Amino acid sequence: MSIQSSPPTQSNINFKQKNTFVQTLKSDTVVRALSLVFVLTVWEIYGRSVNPILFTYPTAVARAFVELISNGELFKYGAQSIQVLIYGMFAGCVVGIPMGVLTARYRVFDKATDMYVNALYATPMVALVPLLVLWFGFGVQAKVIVIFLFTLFPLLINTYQGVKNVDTKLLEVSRSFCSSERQLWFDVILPSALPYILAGVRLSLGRGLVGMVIADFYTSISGLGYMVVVYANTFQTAKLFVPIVTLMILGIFGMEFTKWLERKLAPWNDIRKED
Amino acid sequence: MSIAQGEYPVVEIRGATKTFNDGQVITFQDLNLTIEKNKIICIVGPSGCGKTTLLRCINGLAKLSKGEILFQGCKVSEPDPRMAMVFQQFGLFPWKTVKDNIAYPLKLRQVNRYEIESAVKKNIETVGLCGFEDSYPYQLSGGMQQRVGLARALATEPTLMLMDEPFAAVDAQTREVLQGELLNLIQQKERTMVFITHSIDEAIILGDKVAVMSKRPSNILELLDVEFEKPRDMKVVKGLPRFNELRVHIWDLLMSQKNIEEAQEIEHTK
Ligand SMILES: Nc1ncnc2c1ncn2[C@@H]1O[C@H](COP(=O)(O)OP(=O)(O)OP(=O)(O)O)[C@@H](O)[C@H]1O
Ligand SMILES: [Mg+2]
Repeated sequence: MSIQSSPPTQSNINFKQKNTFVQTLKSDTVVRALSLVFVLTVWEIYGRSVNPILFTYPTAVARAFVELISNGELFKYGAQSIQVLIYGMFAGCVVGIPMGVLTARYRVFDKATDMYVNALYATPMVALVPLLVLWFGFGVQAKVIVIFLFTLFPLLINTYQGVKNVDTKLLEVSRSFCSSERQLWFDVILPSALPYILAGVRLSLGRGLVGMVIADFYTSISGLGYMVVVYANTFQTAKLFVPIVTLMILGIFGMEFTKWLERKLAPWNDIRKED
Repeated sequence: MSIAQGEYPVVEIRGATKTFNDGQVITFQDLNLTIEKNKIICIVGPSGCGKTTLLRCINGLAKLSKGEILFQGCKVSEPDPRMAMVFQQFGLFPWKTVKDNIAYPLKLRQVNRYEIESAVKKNIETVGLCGFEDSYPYQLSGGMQQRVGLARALATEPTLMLMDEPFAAVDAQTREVLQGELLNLIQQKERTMVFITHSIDEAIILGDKVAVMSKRPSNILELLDVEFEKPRDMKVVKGLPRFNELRVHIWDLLMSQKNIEEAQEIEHTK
């Protein structure tokens, strides 16, 4: 950063940022594209020399993609997966965020629940999946509950941290201007917890994807995870890569979406992190 | 209340004592101070002597352990909308624009929208922030942020302004500019103000009175009258022989309170 002797006007701040931003974006894109081409080429050459039961190569995966898209299989299973992911994450948000707020605000509530929260958060959730399948069957319900459990804790804990970490100086500012307790919540505590909550959403999305695939493995009648199991068991390696790549793309889009959401809803936080 | 306005001083502090940690830390003890209407009182004192704590007690943010503080004849027990504080670290909400930060106390008071708009506009002009209405605090320099803090306090048209080292977090040049602007502000319209600072010059330039506090358990060592006539000009005042006399006097008073061991101890606990 250059040193500015006079306070910059708004327009030249924007101009400067845009300019350097575009330049770095361009050179970054070139590096990324070259790297991608290199990796795919190596994979193609090496992949063709290996037994197709064990490994595959990009063009074969692309062909499998076309096939599974045109026969509708990918969309069918993909939609099933996304549906349960959305239900599960929604449930996670609806329970996790208010619970985080309550536990951070009321000591009684905190002490009454913290041992369960800590214990469950420490437990690898995977261990609970067979039990949940036993209880809730092989349908959508069981999967939603699995994803709910995977996503609940990052949301709960981040919200809790966000509410706890509210700047006491700002609380004092509000009290000094005669804010009521209720106004304090809406004016100070929730806005300052928002970046934490959004980070919680980002974390829980990653965990939710893991939960989704595991739930598919155990229930094995629907979803992208089911595709993985079927094609692995039948040694159709190229097709096996289709749900894997789809999951990867889902993950990337999910991350980018939540990051965008963070920038959109809490721009002050983003800028602070930069400097 | 209506009788109270004219007859009582704005603030009367009587026998005020504030302790922390079950009486282990005594900040100020048996402190008495009266703040008259339209007077600026500057408070200087060693670090940690309880200046901020005193201001918080006047504002109603903290409760005294003993004694009482009267605001226009009524005992202070909670924050009063007729007082406005300007904070050392600006105390701006990072998620609110300049405009919304200034409007914040008025919104709490449910002032109607048009009045808020005109009050915000007027005070943005007063502190010279036109064109930055929609900026966020992180887009502003420290000096500009404190102007927002000042505008926010002014917009509430307070009976009493409380300033806790408002210019301590800005660079030396900006500080002088802000001092000059504040001086103009208090000379355009009479105001009652408690102003805490570590700068002796600042205290003498701005204050009608300067209260020098002792180290803990602290009290007012001396309450000096600064007789320079108003309107004052910063440069002129600084050139007066009396300015230097006051300066040396306050400096000596503060130095008599320096306790090197204690200062080091404070450094360690930080
Ligand atoms: N909430 C608190 N709990 C315990 N001790 C406190 C609290 N607030 C202040 N103190 C103590 O009271 C003393 C006075 O603090 P205060 O912040 O009022 O000093 P100050 O005069 O404003 O200092 P400075 O010039 O450094 O701002 C300090 O020793 C501080 O540690
Ligand atoms: Mg202080």
